[in-house]
Amino acid sequence: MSDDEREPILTLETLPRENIYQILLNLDLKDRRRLRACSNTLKEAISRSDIRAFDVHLIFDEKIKGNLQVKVRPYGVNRGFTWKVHGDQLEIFSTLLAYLRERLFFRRIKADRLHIECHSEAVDQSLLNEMTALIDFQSISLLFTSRDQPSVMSFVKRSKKHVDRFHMIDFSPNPMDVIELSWMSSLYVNEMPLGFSDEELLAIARKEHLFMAVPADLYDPNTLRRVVEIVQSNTRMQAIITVYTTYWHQFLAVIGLQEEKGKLTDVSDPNAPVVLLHADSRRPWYHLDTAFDPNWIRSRLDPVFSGVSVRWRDAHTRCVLIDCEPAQFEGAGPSHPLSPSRLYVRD
Amino acid sequence: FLFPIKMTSPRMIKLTSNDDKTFEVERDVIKQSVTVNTLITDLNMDDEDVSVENQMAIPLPNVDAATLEMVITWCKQHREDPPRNEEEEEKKEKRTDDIPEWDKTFLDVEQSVLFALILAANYMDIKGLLDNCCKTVANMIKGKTPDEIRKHFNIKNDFTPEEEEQIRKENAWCED
Repeated sequence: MSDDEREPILTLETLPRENIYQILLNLDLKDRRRLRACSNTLKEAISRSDIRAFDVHLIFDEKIKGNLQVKVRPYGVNRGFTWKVHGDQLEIFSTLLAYLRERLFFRRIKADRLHIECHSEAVDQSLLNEMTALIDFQSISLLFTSRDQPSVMSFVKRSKKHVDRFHMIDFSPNPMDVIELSWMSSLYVNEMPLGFSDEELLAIARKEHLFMAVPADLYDPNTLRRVVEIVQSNTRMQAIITVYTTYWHQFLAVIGLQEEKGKLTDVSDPNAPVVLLHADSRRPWYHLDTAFDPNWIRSRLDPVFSGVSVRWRDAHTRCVLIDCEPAQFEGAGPSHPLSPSRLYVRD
Repeated sequence: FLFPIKMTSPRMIKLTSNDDKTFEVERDVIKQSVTVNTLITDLNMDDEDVSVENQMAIPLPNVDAATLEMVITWCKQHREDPPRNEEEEEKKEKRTDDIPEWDKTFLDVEQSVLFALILAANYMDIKGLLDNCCKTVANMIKGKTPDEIRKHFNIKNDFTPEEEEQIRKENAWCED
C-alpha cells in the first residue's frame, strides 16, 4: 500500500464537529477556550458559528418563588419551551449552566442571543461570577432589575475587559412587567445609566454587537447619531434607543408623529435595526405629558435623527417605534440615577 | 429423574466491517447499538427460524475490523448495564471522573484508536461508549495550556502571529 492509499490517521482536529462538541461538553469554559487557542481548525470547530438563530431567554426571578424560567425560542418566533427549576440561587444557576452547556453544545440548539434577566433583590456575587462564565459562548444581554446596584456595577466593571459580546446591562429600582414582542422574545424595557462613557458606548457599537440598548437621554447627541449610523449600516445589528416619558411626546413631536396616535402599536418590524422604545407606558403612549422641555429633547434628538429621517412609516430608515410597559420611578431620591432632577438636564 | 433440558443457544447476529471481516455477536450484546438494533428490527432479523448461517450480515461501512472488535468487547463488558435513560442523563451533572475502571483501562489506547472508537460509537449509536471515549479525551485536555494540548495531540499551530496575539487577548481571562 502506498502512502497515498493509507487511511489518514485520525486526530483530534479531523474529528467531525459533532464529536468535538461531545468532547467540549465535558470541558469547562477555560479548557474549552484553551483548546480553541490551539489551531485554526479547532478554533473554527469551537466557534459559535453553529450557535445561531435561537434566542435563549432566561428569567431569574425570586418573586416567582425561586423559579427560573428558561425559554428557548427560535429567534423571531413567539414559541418555544419553558423550563423551570427550583432551589436557591446558586443551585438554580448551576443547573442552568449544565443545562445550557448541554443544550447549546451537545444538542446544538442554535442560540444567537442569550438574555438573562435578574430580578433578584440582592444579586449574589457568586451568581454574577457564574454569569461571567456564560458570556463566553454567545451574545448575551444582561438585564438587572435589582436594587443592589454596587454589586451589579462591580460586575460590569469586572466583566468589561473580558466581554466583547456584552450588550446591555440594565437595572432599575423596581421590577417591571414583561413585554412580549413578536420579533424578540420578552423584553424588559427600562433604560438606566449603563455605566459607560460616550467613548465606551461608541466603542461597543463599533464592535458590531448584534444588539444594543441605548438610553438616549444619557449620551451626547453626536455619540447617539454615530451609534445609529453604525447600526443602520450593518444589517445584523439591532439597537434600542429609549426615551423617557418626560421627553417622549416631545420626541414624537420632533419626528412628526404626534398625530399618529393609535397606529404605533401596529408597526413592529422584525428587521428594524433601530427600535425606539418609550420607557414609560404606565400612561398610554398618547398621554400628553406637560412636564417637558421641548428645547432639551430637540437638542438631544434632532442631531441624532435629522439625518436619517426617522418616520415609522418610512421603510428606508428601517426604524420602528414601539410602545412599551411601565418603568416605576417611585421612591427614587434626588441622587438616584433615575431621579428626574438628574435626568432632566436643561440646556 | 432427569428431564431433558432444551438448551437454547443465544441468538447471534453477524456484523461485517468495512474491511470485510465478519463478526458474530450475541443479539443481547449488540442491542446496545441503537443503529444495529434498529436495523435488526426493521429487517425482521429477530425471526428465530433463520439460522445464523443463513442470516444476512449487517454491513458497517464506517467501522474497520479492529475497531469493531473493540466495540464488541466493550458491549460484552456492558451487556448487564441498565438501559440508559437519556432524559435523566441530560439532567445529570457532567463529570469526567466517573469513568468505570474497566473502561479506563480499555480506553488507554493510542489516540488514533480512541478517535476511531468515538467515530464508531457515534455511527453505531452506542451512547455509553461514546460518552466514556469523549470523557477520556476531555481528561487529556483538562488543565493543559494550549501549548501542552498541541504537544499532546500533535496539533500544528497554524495561527499567524497576529491571530495568536488576538486569541491570547481573548483568552486572557482564562489565565487570571
